[in-house]
Amino acid sequence: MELLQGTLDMLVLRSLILGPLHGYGIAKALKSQSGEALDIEFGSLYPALKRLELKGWINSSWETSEHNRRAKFYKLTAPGKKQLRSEHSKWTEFVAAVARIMGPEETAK
Amino acid sequence: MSGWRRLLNLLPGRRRAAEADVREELEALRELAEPGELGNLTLAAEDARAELSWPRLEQWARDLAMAFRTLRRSAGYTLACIVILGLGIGVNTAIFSVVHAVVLKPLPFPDADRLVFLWQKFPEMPDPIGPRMPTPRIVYEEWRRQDGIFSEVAAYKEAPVNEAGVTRPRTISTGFASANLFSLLGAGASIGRLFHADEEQPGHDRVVVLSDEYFARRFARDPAAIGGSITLGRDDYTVIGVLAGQFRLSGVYEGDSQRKPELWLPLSRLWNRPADHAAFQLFVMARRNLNVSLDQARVAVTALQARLHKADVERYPAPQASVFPVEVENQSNDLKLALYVLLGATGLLLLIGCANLANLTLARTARRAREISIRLALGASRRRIAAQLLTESLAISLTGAAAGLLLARATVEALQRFRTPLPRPEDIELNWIVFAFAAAAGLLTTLLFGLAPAISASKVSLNEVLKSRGGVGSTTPAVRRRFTLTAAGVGLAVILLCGSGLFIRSFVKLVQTGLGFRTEKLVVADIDLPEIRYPDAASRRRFYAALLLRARGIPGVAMADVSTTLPLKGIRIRSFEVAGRPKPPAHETPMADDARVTPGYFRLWGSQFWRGATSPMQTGRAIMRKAAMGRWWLTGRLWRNFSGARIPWASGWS
Repeated sequence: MELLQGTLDMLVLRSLILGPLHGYGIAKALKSQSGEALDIEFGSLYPALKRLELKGWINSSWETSEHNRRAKFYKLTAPGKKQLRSEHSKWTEFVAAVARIMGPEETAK
Repeated sequence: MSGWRRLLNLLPGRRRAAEADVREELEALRELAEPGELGNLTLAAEDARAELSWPRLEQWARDLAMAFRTLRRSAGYTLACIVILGLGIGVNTAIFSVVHAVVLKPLPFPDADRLVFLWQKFPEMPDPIGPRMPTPRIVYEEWRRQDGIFSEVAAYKEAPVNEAGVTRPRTISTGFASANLFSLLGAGASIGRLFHADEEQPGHDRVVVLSDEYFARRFARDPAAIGGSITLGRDDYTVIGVLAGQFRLSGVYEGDSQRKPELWLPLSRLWNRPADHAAFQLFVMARRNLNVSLDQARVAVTALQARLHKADVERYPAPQASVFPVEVENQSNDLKLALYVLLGATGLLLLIGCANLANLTLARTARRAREISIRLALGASRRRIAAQLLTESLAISLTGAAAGLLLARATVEALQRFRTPLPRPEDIELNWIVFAFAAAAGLLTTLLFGLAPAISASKVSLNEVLKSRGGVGSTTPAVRRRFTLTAAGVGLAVILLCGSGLFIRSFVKLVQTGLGFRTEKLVVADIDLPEIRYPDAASRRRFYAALLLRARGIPGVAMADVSTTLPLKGIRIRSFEVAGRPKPPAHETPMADDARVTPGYFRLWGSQFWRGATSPMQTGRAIMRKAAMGRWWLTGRLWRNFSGARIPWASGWS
């Protein structure tokens, strides 16, 4: 499934709400939480991480992973949490608005 | 915030660290994930890098660094370019800084656009003096009584006053001001206060306001001076305050005599005798009301003057009055025109420089055709090649602009040091507007001389150049472009040459006209006699007699004489009567510029006498009087009217 433009940042922020994850972990989380419906390419996920980090919404540090391997873990910051809340409510409004326009699925005649 | 971090990442050290970090992170993730699961990691790293900074800017920074390296290798070309551009931009920037200070910068007065000078106007007298005679007190007071035209009418006069009570008494330029002058001009006191309205009344007017310069020189800025007293002439004045340092008067048409009084006294101190009330002595400034246009003010002032003149010609001899905006008085139109002509000429000079540089650069690009072709062959896009060459031009322009600013600074300092006809040379400064001008000139020259070579380089034919063995593959269109540039350059040079030729011709003519007197081997000194030590004419005459005797005794001194003024310097117009003729009506009273001189004065200047055997005359000046003998020297016009006549006038040194 194609991702709606501009939603990737929000999804990344949402995936970090339960705790720090490394880049690969975020990719896996997005895939499994969407019920395998979203397969986001790592090639577009990774630049998004750098973008969010520069904006100060997430920060990163080198840590040891569950398999005793070093990896860079990303963590939500306070401004990031605020941003996520605002994007979440905007998203809810957007979905509701689109749903009102589209209505129940029409059966093809 | 992210912009700021991106900017930081432009620094080479930070950029390298960030890139290394990305590589390390991706390497670690590759080991965590299934093989191939993460896709093309090189591409991911590349895209991440673009997020970390501005790739275009980075590329441009690399281009710029490379441009400087390339230019360093061809030092001769670079030096020639920088010298040409430095001269061009420097001269333009210097002239622009003058234009900015003199013409463009608004005057430092509140609502300066509504501020005007009011004058008495004598239509039969020539411009600029005819419409700008100072105003007598009686007319000034009529103006102050006017309702509705002006919100404020103020007056001042500058006159020398003798300082006393100090070890080395001097004559001090003193301003006599109405109490509202300072508020009209937006001036404040740095210490103490300025005049109150009631201090304009005789009996309350023994107060003095110091200029910042005087305060610094005499009192070393000691605040204890406030409340103390200083002696001027024979009177003591209480020091009430110091004008803030930046205070200045507007220039008036006289240009040369920018008035900078050191002390300020109330206007009423000026009027000691009844005759003073009708004397043409005041400079009157006023602010128009918001709803009154300049034309309306002119009509009103002229109508009032006509009414006064008609009612009493004796009391109000000026038939008309004039109103000039302060920004007109502050700058002469001749000066403005001259400055713009100069700016145009220097602009042309810069254009010629650009044409030459474009030629040089085209030739250089032609020589680099091989290098360019190889880079094209290796996969550089034509746009990148053009951008690279344009960046080189920019590097040259920026260096040239920097050199130009240095030159401009030196020029401005020279302008301030030497006597120029500029109203306020100390105002000329290299501020950010001037910097912006230099930067804009730099960018413009980049386009002017860099565009043609960049375009021609991007059109290099790969095949032809690489096949030709010579290496110097100047293609035909490039050659044609160089001819066009040369033609343009020569054309501009001819225009400039004609212009400057005419300039020089007028200058030579001016110099050859001659002043009517000789200035070689002449030494001039100013003498101030303190009134305290030389109170009367007799004591001053004794001093000058002794002075001349001793001066003439100095070995090598051929002649020595004394005069109250110097040729072509300052005008002191006085009215006079001719003995034995009926007194003309007041507005036809003959007036002339007068000076008192010792007998050898004209011989000293080498002046030519025109008519009359023993009563010699000097051309060019008005009336000269031989103080002791009661005889007159007249100019041609006056001679025709008054030759042989006797003019009674108070004798003695003034």
